[in-house]
Amino acid sequence: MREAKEVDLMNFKERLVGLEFENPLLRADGTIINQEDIQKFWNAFIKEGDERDADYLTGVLVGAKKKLSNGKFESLNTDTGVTTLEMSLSPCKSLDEAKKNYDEVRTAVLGTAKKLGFRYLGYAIWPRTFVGKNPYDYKTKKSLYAALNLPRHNLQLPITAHQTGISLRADEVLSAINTLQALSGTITCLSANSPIFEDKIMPWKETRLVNWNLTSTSAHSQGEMDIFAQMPSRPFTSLADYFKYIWRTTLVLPMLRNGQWVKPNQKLTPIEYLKGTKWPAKDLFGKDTELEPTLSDLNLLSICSWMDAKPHLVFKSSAVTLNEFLKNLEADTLDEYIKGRLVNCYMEYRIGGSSPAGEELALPALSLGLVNNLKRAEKLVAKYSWADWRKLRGNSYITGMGGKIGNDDIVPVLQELAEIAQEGLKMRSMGEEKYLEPVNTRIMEKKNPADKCIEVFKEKGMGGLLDYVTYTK
Amino acid sequence: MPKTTVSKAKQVEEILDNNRDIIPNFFRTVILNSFQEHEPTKFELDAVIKVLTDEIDKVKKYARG
Repeated sequence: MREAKEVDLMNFKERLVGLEFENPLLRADGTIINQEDIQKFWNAFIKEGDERDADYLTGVLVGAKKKLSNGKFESLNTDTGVTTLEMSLSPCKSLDEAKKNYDEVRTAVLGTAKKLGFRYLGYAIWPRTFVGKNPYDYKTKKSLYAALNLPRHNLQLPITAHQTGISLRADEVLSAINTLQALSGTITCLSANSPIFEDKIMPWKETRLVNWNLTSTSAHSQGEMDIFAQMPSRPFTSLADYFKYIWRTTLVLPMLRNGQWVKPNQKLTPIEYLKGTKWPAKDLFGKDTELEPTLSDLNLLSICSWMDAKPHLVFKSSAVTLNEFLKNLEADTLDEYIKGRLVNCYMEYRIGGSSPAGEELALPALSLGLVNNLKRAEKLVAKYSWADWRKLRGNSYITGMGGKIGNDDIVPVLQELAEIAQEGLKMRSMGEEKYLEPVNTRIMEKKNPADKCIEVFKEKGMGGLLDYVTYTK
Repeated sequence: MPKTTVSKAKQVEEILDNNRDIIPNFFRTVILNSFQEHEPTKFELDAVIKVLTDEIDKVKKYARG
């Protein structure tokens, strides 16, 4: 998570799309790589023109910025675990352009992985996981983790997802949150892909969601639990309603000052923090300092939620003050207030599982198509109750394509979902609907990547499975 | 740890022991280690018990039903 820079991205004609892909990096025998291995990886990966990303507190190399042939820099780092490689790719005008950048980054990653004898996987599985090992030995040495008070954060070590960022107009934010959150269970049905763990088949198809549910138990209140892993119990009625929901808890993240984390000395909710003028605080070196709430803090606090459909709002510094924002929050008029006052606004759709090789653009295409056809997606959501969608979300990682919504089989709903996305992509006239092909195949075969993974494991054993899920090009 | 907290932590361990076929060892390690490293609150322990119980019930109902 970084401080948002003020670059105006609101004047888009067609929506921009950004990719955030996480994939496992393992040793050749399928065991997890360690701290020494990941340092070897970064040192081999970083070439002339690239930038090294060393953590300011621990001094350890935790990532890199790769310079692409188009001159752009793209960020890579390891997430919670050193075995999880994350690439955050800048927003692009089309899925074709996003794919081109992604292919270039992946080729560089794969080249380094092969050189070191590592496997880069197209599935979110750690088939020979952490048995008998101390999880702490495999945690990325990022200062942020030192600042978090989440006792079971280590559950996040073996987790990867593929997330898509899609531009939103200010008047679409509320509908996009509610619609995409309701549909999150359908995405899991289609994309679940982590059924093998600790050398065996799990009783669920997406281990990652169990990790998240259990991580949420690090919380100290229901409010904190909700922002980590749960689908809200009702749709949001306004943006103010959304912010008040995610801000029921005390600050989860510290604030950023010049790229370094600073924690207020006392427990404060985001609203209490923003209302203050100066708060006594400490940096992570233990030095006393003060925090004066800023617009950058508001930008950071507005993304302190880890629900499936997470809006990112970046406020225009020349048009927004904290006082005005808080006044509109209180008066429930934020939906109007934000119009013309944002420099960036996009939906981070976080629910997708890591995609198999060659199918990586399928979920971004599905998400982009749904957002671009939001009115029709709303109509699909309206066919069932919020409680039905919530139940689907709660069970989808176990049932997969065999799930139900209400009394209906999920497959016809998935077909309608794919049609809505296809229509939405066609409206962009860029031929991007071709990327939906893997989604259509999964629906036709009634099999998601987890189902395929289990078949290969049963047929070919662990060696065959590892080869099946490893990128070769 | 207060008596009630100790007994709830024990309850978590029992749930993990009795459901080794469902809950992976990694989860067990992280959860039990976390109790050693940080004294869990009653809220946290109730949450762990509820989430574990929900996961196990769902597996029994939907994956093995």
